[in-house]
Amino acid sequence: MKWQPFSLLAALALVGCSAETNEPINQDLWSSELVSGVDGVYVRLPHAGKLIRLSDSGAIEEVDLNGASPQRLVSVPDGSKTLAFAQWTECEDEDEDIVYLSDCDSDDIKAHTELHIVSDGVTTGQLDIPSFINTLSFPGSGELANVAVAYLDDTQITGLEINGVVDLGAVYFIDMDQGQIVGSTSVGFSPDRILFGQDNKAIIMSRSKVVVVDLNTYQQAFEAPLTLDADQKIDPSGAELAYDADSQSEILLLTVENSADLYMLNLKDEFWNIGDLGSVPTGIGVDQETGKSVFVFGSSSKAIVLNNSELATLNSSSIQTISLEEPANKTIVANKSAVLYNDANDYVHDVYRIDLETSDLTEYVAENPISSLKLNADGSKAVAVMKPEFGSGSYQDANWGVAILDLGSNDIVNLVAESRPVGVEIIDSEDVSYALVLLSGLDYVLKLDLANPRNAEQIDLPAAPLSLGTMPDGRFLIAHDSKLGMVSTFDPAASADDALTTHSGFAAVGLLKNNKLPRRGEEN
Amino acid sequence: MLTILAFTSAAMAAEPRHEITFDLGSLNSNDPAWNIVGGQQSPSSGIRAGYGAKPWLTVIGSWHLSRIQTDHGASYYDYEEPHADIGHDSSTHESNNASNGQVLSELSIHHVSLGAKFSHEVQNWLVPYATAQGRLHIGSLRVTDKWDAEDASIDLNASGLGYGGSVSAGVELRSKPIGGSMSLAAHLELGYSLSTAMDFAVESEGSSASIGSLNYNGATVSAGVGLRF
Repeated sequence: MKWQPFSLLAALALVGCSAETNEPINQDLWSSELVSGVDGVYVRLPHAGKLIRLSDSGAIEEVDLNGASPQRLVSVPDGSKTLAFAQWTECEDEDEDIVYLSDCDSDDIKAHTELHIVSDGVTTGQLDIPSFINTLSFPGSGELANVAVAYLDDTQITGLEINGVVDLGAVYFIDMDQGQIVGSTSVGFSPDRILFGQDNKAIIMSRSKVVVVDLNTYQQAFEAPLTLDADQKIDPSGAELAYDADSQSEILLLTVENSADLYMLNLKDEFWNIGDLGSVPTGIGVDQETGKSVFVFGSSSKAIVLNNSELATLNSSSIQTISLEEPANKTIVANKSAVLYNDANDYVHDVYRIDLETSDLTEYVAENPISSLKLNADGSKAVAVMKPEFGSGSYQDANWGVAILDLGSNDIVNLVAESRPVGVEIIDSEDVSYALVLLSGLDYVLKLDLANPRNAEQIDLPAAPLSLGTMPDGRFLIAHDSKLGMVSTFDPAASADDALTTHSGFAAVGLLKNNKLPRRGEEN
Repeated sequence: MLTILAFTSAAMAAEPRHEITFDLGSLNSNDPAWNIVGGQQSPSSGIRAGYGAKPWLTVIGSWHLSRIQTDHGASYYDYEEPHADIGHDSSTHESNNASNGQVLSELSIHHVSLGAKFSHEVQNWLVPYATAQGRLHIGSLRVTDKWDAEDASIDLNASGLGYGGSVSAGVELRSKPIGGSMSLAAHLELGYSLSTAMDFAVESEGSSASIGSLNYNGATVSAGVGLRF
């Protein structure tokens, strides 16, 4: 009996002292907008202000951005590098007693915008860029594979902060191997797209003018105004490059807002030619193999096909008009064909294929209006997401669906979806094309063999999917709706047991952040 | 515990120079990372035992436990129906991010101390004292989406070790001896602690990525009741 007080004391101590608290985290732990490179999947962690790489093995590695917090990720086209827009917060007061951000006087806090070039999980280059830059374009492969073009796309502006006076029309050329800006030029107001042409030229469209830059010297080759009236504002709406084999000239085809005019800029001889398409075009496609260009018109049931070798002498006789039953506002060109569809009109069901060699027209009728459409790599199949048709009574018409078009015939398969398809990706292997369809709020995705789409396979997932993408090695990448982080890779060609690989919990990295000031030159 | 009880049993026949107490206390830290797991004060409880080597010198050892469960909130952003493909780039647009599941953490820290207590008896019942102790903090951190491990789809466990020391000053109140060999005692003490950080990491397939670190650099306070024997 005499041990009872001690036993009670021990029991009380063993219980320990517990606390239950509620500490909301103000930012997302991870961003589901993943970037997939050949070296792994990169994930931005907004709460932690970190960037991590997920490897196939399941390894989680933190990418050292020298104390900067990643804001946005972009992969180069071949997936060999990932570029991270990042922000580094500096306290200009170097007092050693200032350890945390909260210790620094707000007047001494300065934010720097940087671009980090990451390869194989390591920063290979870091450069200061103006804070307004939000878009990158890449010339592609070959000798310009190391070049990125950075500019402000004012349709993508979020929280733009300007210090002092800046030129929002400046375009910067970045050598990704050297990790530095190698040139810049001002292209006028609101640059909104860049095309890369022959002879290492960058053709930059902005309000009321086109600027051509020689990427060998990063100097302006020439500037081509769209109007001689300084008061007139002309905003480009669509642009493609065509090649005129007769004159051996590259031609910029440019359409502008609210105008039926087609602007044609000969990039070799530097002159404009303007033609009248009769209606305001809403889409352009150019097929280099057949030397044809296609124009569609959202408000007119026709398509126009132009022979690129006749662009210099364009007149009414050289315009080939193809009548459609319903208007199309978009076109995708592939494999000597143009696929036309309408994603803006809720009553249009038709999808068309124009054989650009013969000008033969094939009509496909989808059960419901089209919301989006994608082609496989060789242009032999198309996958369209169909949206519910307003005011219609049938079950299929009232629901979302997926249509698979065989562009080699006039076959179309219409499937009804359990919920809204919020992501569609297509992957081509040697002899098979697969589509993966992500359905809103469901814990599975649909795998479609495009040659046999009626036998859709349901792939069960460990959590509801959030977004869908493709990887450079031909796998699908799925982000799941899980706050602590969950992504899966899906190999459509693998056996069912091995096809799906899931990594989770990575968003806990940096959970216990302490807001320590990232002092450069010190360990953070 | 049995060892402690055996030790006290053997000593009970002697004059009351040894002690065993049950403590409640709080360890503070100026490390802002603690704000993620419930704040910069860690409550703790445990046992402290002392061996009286001299009337003024007691060798003390203690074990305390802190346990903090934190729900990191369910709605810190608005969820919109997902609509975007991953593509080859991402943007600062956050509306397509995850909203399902919970973010829960459970932090358990064992504090083990060994040191000396220096006492000066002002009155039989009033004894001010000071201590100096070395400390080991053995932490385990669980991050999960469900408290029930069987229901959790994500359940991460990490451990961290920190070491350091503390100094404190306090006052002890003693009762009259009961039966000549045992008395009741109560104490209140304030101090300051310094420690290295406990580093917690996600270990996966040979890789290690840091969850973060926590240290105990700050004031301490504790109070306890116990026996002298």
